[in-house]
Amino acid sequence: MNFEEHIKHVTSIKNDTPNEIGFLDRLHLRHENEMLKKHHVMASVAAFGLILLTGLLTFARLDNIAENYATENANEIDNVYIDELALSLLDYDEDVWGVVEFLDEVNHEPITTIVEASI
Amino acid sequence: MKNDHELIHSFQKGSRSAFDELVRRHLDSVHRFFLRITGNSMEAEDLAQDVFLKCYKSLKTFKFQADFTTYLYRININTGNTWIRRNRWKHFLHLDQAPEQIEEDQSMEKEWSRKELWYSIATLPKQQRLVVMMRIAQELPYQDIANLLGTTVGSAKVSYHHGIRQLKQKLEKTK
Repeated sequence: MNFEEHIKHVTSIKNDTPNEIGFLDRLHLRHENEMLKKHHVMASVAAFGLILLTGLLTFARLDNIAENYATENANEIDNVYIDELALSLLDYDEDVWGVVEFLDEVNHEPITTIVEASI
Repeated sequence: MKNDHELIHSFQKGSRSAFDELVRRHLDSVHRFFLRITGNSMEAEDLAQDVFLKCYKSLKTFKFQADFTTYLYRININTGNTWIRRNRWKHFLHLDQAPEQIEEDQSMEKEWSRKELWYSIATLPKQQRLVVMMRIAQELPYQDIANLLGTTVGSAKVSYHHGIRQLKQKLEKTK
């Protein structure tokens, strides 16, 4: 037997066509499964992106809020403290101008300290 | 009866039954192609499924510049090539210990098996490999092979004969 005949013999097959209906059913099922898998992957990527974006935005926003909150509250507390201090000083001593002068000194005390220290 | 291009047009407009008709029309030839390579009906069916699945995805953008059969042969050849390469590595790593189907080796004394033939074909240079695959597994005439590869009939014949000569040398070494 020559070489090419041998190849033909080796690659010879029984005529064995698959069942068309079963084949098509499996084909469409496979296609649907692949589409479903693709949608899952896309949904997962979209969800991950959304979570990441929300996280970043929240982080950035929280960062700003924290700074603003601290500054605003500090000022508010100082004002309340000064008001209460002024009222209690006025209750104790009705010399309004004396209280104003004292509060003015308190207000400028850090500056005075710095100036005195530098001298 | 609609021709292949008309069926593809219908499929592009959303008709799944047109695609089913296309599959029915070409299933036998695609299945035979892979059966010649694998020697296993189940494996051939899986590969045929891969081919038609690729068709399903890509036919939506089919340009009608060539026959559907030409398009199908190309997908067959690529899928077959991938399968052979993958299995050659398995064979090399001794991962395919299952014996070949008995039907192959009953009628006469074999010098080499179907597997060895296809693994040797996989080692041929590209042009020779494609021509030999199309001749052996698809039984295409040289004219069709030349059209598919964009070459002349003479060149296809030369590639085939060089390929067969190299195969003979490779397979004689395995004896």
